[in-house]
Amino acid sequence: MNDMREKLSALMDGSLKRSEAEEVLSALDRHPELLEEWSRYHLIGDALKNNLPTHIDLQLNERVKAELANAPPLKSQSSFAQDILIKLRGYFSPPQFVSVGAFAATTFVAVLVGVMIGASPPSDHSLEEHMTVATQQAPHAVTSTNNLVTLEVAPFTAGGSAQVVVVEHSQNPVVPHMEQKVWEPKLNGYLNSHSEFSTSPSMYGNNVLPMVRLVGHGSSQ
Amino acid sequence: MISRAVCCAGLWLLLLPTLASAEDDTSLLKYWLDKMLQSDQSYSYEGTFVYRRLEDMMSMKIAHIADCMGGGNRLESLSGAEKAVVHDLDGVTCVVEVRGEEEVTECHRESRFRGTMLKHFERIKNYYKFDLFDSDRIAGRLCRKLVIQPSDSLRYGHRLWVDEETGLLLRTELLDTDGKVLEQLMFTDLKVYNSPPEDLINRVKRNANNIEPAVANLPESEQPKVATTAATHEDIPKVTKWRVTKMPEGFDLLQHFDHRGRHTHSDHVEHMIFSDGMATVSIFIEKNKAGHEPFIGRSSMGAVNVYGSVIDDHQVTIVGEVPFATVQLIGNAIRNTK
Repeated sequence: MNDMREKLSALMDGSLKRSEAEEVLSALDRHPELLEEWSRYHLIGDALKNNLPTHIDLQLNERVKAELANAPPLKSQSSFAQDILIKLRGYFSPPQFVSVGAFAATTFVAVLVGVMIGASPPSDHSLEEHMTVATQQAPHAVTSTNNLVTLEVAPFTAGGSAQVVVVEHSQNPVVPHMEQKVWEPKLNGYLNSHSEFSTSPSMYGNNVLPMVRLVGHGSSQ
Repeated sequence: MISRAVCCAGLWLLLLPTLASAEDDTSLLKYWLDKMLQSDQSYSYEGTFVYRRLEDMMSMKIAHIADCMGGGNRLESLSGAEKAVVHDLDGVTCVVEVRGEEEVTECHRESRFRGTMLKHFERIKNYYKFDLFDSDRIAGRLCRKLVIQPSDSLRYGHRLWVDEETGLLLRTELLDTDGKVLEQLMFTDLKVYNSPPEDLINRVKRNANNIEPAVANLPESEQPKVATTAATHEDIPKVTKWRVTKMPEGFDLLQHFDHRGRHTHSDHVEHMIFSDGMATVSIFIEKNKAGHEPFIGRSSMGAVNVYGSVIDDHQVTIVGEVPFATVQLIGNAIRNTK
């Protein structure tokens, strides 16, 4: 069963071969406890993705199965639409029915336009073209305690001043395509050193996130 | 003239509540941020949380002793490889990892930034917008939700859920420039103690000397291998041949170190740390060694992006919790002035 649970987890991650996926899916039918585990994984995933419905019906699977078992043979799409229209007419008076229909059509068009605007491709300018570059002189106010050197407001002192790059939020920079490489073990040293000095602890107060990254990094390998 | 003066006074009176409200909002924000930043110093706690990084999801448990009670954290993975991180108040961080039959402990003593966010709050507000929302519920506890949006696309946004009673951060989300969640952490249960129980103290402190007390009583032949690295860092001389010619607005140099013994393929690594108060970017520069393939290109670990290049036979690596565009911009702006 433990082996099956591991495969279930792999199926969630989409890293299971087709043959193994079929084996797991068939096991889901036979083992209700595995089905529960599957639902739990999805619930955690949905909770983290903020996808939880307002009302959670935990018996949804059973109810859908029961409905399907009692359902009449499949109808064509048009007859389904006719059924829905007939049912709606039963709920509304004729003038209300026309108003509801008009509202639904307007909403559909509005959603469609919204989706089309949202799906419009980003402009094809390079990062450099989007940036307004201004040079500022590096101010310097240095405090030092033990090994910690804190420069209050100093863009760069080790080697001179840097140009300050200003980017408008609306100008989403398009990064020239560069292939994403798999994480190499030699990057671990950099990640650890960076995590230890990250300002995140000061932000989160309880040092948790950089530590989580250190643990999560090894655990997910 | 009089009517104009009355009109101006009237307008001013109308604006007053708005100005007062803005002042109240900033005070309220600072109150919750301060409460969040101070929480680990005042409260001991233990709990379980789920951590999600893009498609990877894992559960972990944490035990924390309040700074005023001695301080320390112990974080353990509950899924995947067995791994724990122990951190004490003196800045010693140990990574305890089970590798086959062995338990390997690697410890570092490092300085850390603490509590700088409020100190630089007015400056941070130039680059991030803060919004406070009504109560939400995490791990059965009431939380205030705080949304932090960057003013440009060179940094990430944040959503934070802060426990109303203690100020502990119970849920956090890191958002990319499109609002997509890159990294999430959410507690599923939490126990808070005013005075930590003995058991909690023992769990947190058990790796304090890099050797577990239980293991120390075993015969020598049965003791696991404990490998401790004695990493050091020194302040680097003020003069360096490396120069960063471009930097996103608001990012300042916080530290500049010369690490020794921290990296496997080099004895000497120059490490510069830049921050805008919320996000951190590290620049690592080290001499290429014969027989070691340099890292050139991009890689990422959840929200952390990496950009590597070779400049004048030196490996230059930029690491940061910022969009890839930012690490690439910084990486391409590094020059050797000698």
